[in-house]
Amino acid sequence: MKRLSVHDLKPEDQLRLTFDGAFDQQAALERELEPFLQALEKYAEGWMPDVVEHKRRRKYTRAAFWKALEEGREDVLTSLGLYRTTWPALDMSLCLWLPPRPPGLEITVNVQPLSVFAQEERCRHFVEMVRAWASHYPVSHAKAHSSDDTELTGSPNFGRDDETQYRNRFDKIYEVYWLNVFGPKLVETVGRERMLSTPAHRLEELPNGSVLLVTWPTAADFASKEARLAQARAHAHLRPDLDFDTLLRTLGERSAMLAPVEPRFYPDLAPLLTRVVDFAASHERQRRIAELNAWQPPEPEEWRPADSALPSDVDDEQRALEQYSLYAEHLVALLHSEVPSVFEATPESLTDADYYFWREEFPTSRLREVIDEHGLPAIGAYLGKVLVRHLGGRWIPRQKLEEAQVLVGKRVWLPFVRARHYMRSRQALLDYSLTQLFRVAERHQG
Amino acid sequence: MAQDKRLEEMLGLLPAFRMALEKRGLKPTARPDRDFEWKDVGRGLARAGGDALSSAPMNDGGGAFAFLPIRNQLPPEYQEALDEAQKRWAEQHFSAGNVVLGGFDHLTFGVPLGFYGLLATTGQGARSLAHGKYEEATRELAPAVLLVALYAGGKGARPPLRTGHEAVGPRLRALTETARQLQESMSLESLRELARYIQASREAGRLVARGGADAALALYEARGDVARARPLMSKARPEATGSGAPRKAGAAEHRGTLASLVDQEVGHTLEVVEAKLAVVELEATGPRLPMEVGVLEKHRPSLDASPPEAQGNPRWGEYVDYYEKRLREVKKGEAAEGPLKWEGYERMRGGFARGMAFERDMVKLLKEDARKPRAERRFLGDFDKPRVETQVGVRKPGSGLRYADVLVIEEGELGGRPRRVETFSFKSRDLALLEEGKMKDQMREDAREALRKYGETVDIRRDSLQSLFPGGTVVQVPRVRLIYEGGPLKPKRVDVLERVVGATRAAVPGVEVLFQ
Repeated sequence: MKRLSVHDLKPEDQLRLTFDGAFDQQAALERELEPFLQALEKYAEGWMPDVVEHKRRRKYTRAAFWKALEEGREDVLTSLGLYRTTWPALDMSLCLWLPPRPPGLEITVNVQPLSVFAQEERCRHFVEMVRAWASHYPVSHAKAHSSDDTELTGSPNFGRDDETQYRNRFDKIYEVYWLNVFGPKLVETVGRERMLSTPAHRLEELPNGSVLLVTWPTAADFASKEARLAQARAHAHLRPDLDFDTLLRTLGERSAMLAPVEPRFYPDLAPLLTRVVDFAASHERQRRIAELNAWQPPEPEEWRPADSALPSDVDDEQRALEQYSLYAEHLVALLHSEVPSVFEATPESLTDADYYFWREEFPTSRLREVIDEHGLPAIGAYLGKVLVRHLGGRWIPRQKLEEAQVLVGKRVWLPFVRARHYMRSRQALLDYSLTQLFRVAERHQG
Repeated sequence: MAQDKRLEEMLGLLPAFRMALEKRGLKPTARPDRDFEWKDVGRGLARAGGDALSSAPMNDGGGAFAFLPIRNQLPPEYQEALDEAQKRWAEQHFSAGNVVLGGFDHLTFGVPLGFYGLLATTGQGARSLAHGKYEEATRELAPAVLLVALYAGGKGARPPLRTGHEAVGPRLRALTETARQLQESMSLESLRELARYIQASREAGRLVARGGADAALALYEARGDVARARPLMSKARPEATGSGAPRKAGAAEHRGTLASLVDQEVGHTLEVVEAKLAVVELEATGPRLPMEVGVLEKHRPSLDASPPEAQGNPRWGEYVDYYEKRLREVKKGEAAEGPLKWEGYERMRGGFARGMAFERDMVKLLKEDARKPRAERRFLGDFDKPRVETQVGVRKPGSGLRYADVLVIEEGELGGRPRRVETFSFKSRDLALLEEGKMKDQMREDAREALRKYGETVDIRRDSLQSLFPGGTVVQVPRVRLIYEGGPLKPKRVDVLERVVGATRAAVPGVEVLFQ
């Protein structure tokens, strides 16, 4: 039985629920969790888990659920995961804190893609499910919302340092989401009366004193103008200390950050930038595309006109060429496992190397002196080798590596200088990419 | 020519070796081949160097020649000849050949060694060799080329490398040195013939690549007939054909594959590497075979018959050794789990190499941190004069002896306070690919393990540290830090990650979880 991981799909927005509550540690677990399962089975139409798993994976049944919960039992908690085998992907977990710890019941649900929740009926069911849970289990805070937008809210730290966040959690209304359950303490921070007069799509006081608030009928169009307006109204009402216009503007800015952007990359680097963008987290993707659409690498400066090339100043040219070749081999040795195309020494392999160094954050993740001593000669020599091989270039060796040149047409290129510029920072890998230098050299091949 | 002269000199030094070769029908020749450039093979071999290390048995003890990868696989007369050769060459202070490129990636950047095309492309490599494209061929032929290089005739040594050299461990240098000494002893024609046999059938290539030098010799003697070569080979080393007898060379080979991860500077001795691998293997989640002797016998992997997905992977030999060892343990009732299946083993092993590299980088980072002024330190701000020790044996009641990745001890004035000790545990884990619940489980498990092994109260066992603790080596560890490799392995959603870290800290107080 193979389950579908959210990580099997390309990064995309999800509906994300976090539910922090408590349960009766004295009661028998089977009885205590009955409302959880009942509501799930009744309302999870379209995204119902069919796999339950702690260490072992089982087809979802009540019996399998109890078995997994039993297996998941540790000293202070027990936990399990709930998943699906088919689209849409589900990543759901349940965690119960056991004595001697204070009772805690934590549920997370991530359904990908978010677009599943464009249907009003399905959203209503989702709300009913959370309502049923929150009615039975005393909630401190629960929220459900676009996971991409959640990231942009700065959750869960909201500007606090980690220690403070671990200690205080969601102790005031930092943010209003599509669906919210505020526990009694949070209700207190606002005042019950005020909270119960919040403008909302749905607002309900639950018997245990928590308040359920839903801003808008559907979760998927959270970024629409209307949904944002509703969100801002509710937020401003619950936090009279905050300015409505500012809140609304912030929400508008978040929507803009998540709005789909058509890639229009600088053509020389389109293959590289596409991969850079695919690596980004879903909530950063559109911004990244926009940023890279607007970006253009500087014109390579690591060249001289051929007529001002420095003549070779080495005694033994053959020996120098061998040395360059050896350095180029270093790059192959370094990259071949992860970037097998380096064997080919083609323009495409330059792009593969560019991407690899970028992804690995090479300039900062490796020791600087190692990069300078070993990396730069390897990269420069490899770049030179590709120029020689594919553009009919010719090395003009020099005693100083940085002065070594490759003659292509009417220009001499300085690959080792390029390598130094290239490895200065992660951004420099894009600004001074090997790919770009090659493409420009190709155009000036003459 | 100078090269001819050197070759003659060398052959003069190696009468025993020469005779051994001749007995086998491989006539050494002092006539260098015109269209064959040693440097070409050198390049290929250089790049195969790491693979050579990885697919060859290594042996710490004994004579200086004991590290020669194929020594144990050779008939006794070869072994003697090699020993003699080594002695003579050592006496002559022959300068190192520096065939070190294969180690470049690991030794300098902490990137695990990978492998070149090897078996999957053996046929291709041999074809290139036959067509005189030596450089390509040697690159593609790695294990075979090791052999090629061991016997290849040539025109003298290449200039020493100027880079990567200093970083190279003495063993690698010694191995490559040896390889280069040997490569001057065999006629290129014999080699070419051998290459043609290998080229003629994939099976022959496999035989040579797996069986090493004796397989090649057997193949040569059998004139390329694999079926005839096998029995010839089994005369030299019965285990090599996978006939079922336990492999004596097994343990040694297994060590050899791990040797590329040894880094004394950060405390990664072979023993530490092995101990760590054993732990990682135990917690690997890949599919396993059951602990039933019958089933294990039935699925027993053989060196000569790797599944298609393992073709081209030199760790197959290591896997066979691992399987055999586990099978023996199962028989004796000593095994905790059945062996991993191949895919799981390979995945575990790849992750292990990455983890070792991460650990190595972190140790260096901490050592740098310790050297900074206190106010500028990122990790060791609670110490006045931190002393960073790696792989320190610590004992805890009930959990036996463990090695803490890093133990930091206060060396400054104590002012009546107990000496501060903190421990670090490093993990290179792809948390980014885990679901939220799984990530939580994993992090909690890592934190618990760190606390159990290196936290609370530990007894520091390392002799050289005992003098720091005149009042007894049982000390309190107020803080254990679990540091995960960051970058692409770190989960991208903060709302997920922070909740998971928060839950971990709630479940396992005393362990601080960080990302590098």
